[in-house]
Amino acid sequence: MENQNSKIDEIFRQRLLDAEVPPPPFVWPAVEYGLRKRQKQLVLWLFAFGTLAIGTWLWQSDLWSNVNPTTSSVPVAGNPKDEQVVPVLEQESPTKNSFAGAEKTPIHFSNTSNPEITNLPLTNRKLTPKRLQDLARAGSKDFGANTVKDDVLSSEISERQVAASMAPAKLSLTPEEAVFTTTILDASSLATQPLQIKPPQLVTSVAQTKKTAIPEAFKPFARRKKEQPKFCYDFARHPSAWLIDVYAGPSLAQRSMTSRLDDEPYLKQRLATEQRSTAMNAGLRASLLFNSNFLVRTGLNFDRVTEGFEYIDPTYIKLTIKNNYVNGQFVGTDTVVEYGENYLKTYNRYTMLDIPLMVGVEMRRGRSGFSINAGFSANVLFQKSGVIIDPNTHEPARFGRISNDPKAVGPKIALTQDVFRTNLGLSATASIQWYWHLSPHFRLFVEPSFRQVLRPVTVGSHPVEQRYSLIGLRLGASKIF
Amino acid sequence: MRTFGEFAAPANQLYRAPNYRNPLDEHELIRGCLRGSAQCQRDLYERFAGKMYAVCLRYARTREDAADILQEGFLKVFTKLGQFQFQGSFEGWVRRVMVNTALRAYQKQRFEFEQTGYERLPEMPVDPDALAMLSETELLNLVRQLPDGYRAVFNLVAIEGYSHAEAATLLGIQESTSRSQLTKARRHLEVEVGKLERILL
Repeated sequence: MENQNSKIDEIFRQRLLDAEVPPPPFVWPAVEYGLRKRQKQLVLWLFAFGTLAIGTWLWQSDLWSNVNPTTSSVPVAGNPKDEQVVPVLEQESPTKNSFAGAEKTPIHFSNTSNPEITNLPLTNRKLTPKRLQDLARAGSKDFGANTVKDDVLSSEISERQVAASMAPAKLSLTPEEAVFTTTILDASSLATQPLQIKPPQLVTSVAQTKKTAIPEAFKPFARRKKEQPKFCYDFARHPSAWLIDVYAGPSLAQRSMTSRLDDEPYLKQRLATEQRSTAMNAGLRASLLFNSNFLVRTGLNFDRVTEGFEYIDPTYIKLTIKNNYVNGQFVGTDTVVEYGENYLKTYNRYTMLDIPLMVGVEMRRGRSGFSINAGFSANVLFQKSGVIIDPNTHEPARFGRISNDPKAVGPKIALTQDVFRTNLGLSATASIQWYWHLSPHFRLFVEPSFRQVLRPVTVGSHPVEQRYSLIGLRLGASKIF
Repeated sequence: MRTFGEFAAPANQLYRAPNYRNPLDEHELIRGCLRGSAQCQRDLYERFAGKMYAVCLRYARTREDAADILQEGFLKVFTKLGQFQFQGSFEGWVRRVMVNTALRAYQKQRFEFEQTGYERLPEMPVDPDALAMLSETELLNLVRQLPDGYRAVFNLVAIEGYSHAEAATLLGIQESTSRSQLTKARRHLEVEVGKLERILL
């Protein structure tokens, strides 16, 4: 019995193991479509991952550049290796009286770019007006023309003492801090008001006096307040804001058509008669910016895809019947039959109105910046009108509104079955926006966008599956509230 | 002065289009698919589609299911082609992918309360010579008429040559169940072959 079983198995194995049966013809197109779809998905994922990686990198680099500013120290002659600074003199309450004809000349003592200042040797001498004048002359040639009275100086502090008082502190200056160290001396006020020098307040950095030093371990995570350019909205002070965007621009509609029911001839007919032409987009959007960098966007988005339809009917017969009247009385008809080709060209329009819901991250550098956005949009209106080949009659037929105008181009016959969905459902959407502030509350932007309509626009019973993805360029303006 | 002929490659180094029908060029075909060449993918499909469709027909309940399995299986072949190590038979690798896809489909469509009605049939010995007279299509139809569970075990053990332990692992059943289902599948086939014999006589 066992032997017979093995014989039966052997017969089946020999005859069936390497048997070949021709596969149905629709399998390869389906495999090819599946491969293309997976490739598209892969490209989408790569795009999303790439933008995320670039965004993160840019954001991180921005963070690090804020945390580790380049330091600049002020060298002092005679001890150039030590990080010291020229003492800054503050003058209080400048007087309104001034010499006639005397020019108000600002002298920037902390200007390290002037070599003459740094070359002045520090001495144990008292700070006299003459000495001040020398220092000033080194800073500004015009200052020498002004006279300074010797008896106006009341301070007994020498330059060495001033320098010594600064020694314990680390006297490194960031570019921002250097701004705070600049003191302006007015020559005319020097002549009338005694100088009051306050040694303990001769601090190089306002930031150092007000801020607690950040521990080294936390420095990489700390963010410093960034100086806001004049034209940029002060996001540091107002980290939350509403933005209203208005945009419009051209689009490129990528259409894909695949045969559902192995009806290749019909698919070929549709592909041969419909051509991609133009597309456009427009929208109104409200965005909530929170935590200075994050965005939630919603609004209304309008997309219109226009496709050309060209059809030549080689067996066209035109029948013209003319009624003849003589003296108002009907006498008969003239019938004219014309044979030839009928060339039909019209446009199919697909209009989509959607409510997007997107989240984004915004990064800025000065007046400009960019944001990366992604999300979904829900279709609220899908209008379509035009002419396609009917799947049953294989003749051109109209979808959408049929005009009663006798001069209207194209057939006036409706499709024999429903072809398009009434609602498109959800679409996945992503965009990258570059913006430029014209004023603190107004910005212009350019925003390449991508939208993939997740469902086919055709109904399930239609032999062709028609899908759309839209690549758009949005040009617009934002108002910040 | 150099003439144009001097720039041309020698005759033995000229580019030769790969002959994918030649087994030696099979690896070239696979590399083409890995590069994403649509032509190579098409050629690979055409090369194995017939055999693999026969495999799918043996495992599937209907022709439509077999076409679905073939489509899904080839998608897996193309997307997981990078996992092929260029060791052993490529056809065997493709066949394994197809069998796994078919079994996955079988597990999805499993009928839990399937009644076969052949459990109590008496043994009817079949003449192997009579079986050998049947055409491949008739044999294939016989296998396809088997209930799902029997068909899967019969295909794996009797035709593909898997052991009962391997078949049991693939199907997620006990080894003893695999043995009993194979016995029942054979009895089912004997009954069906007996019917055909009576018709022929």
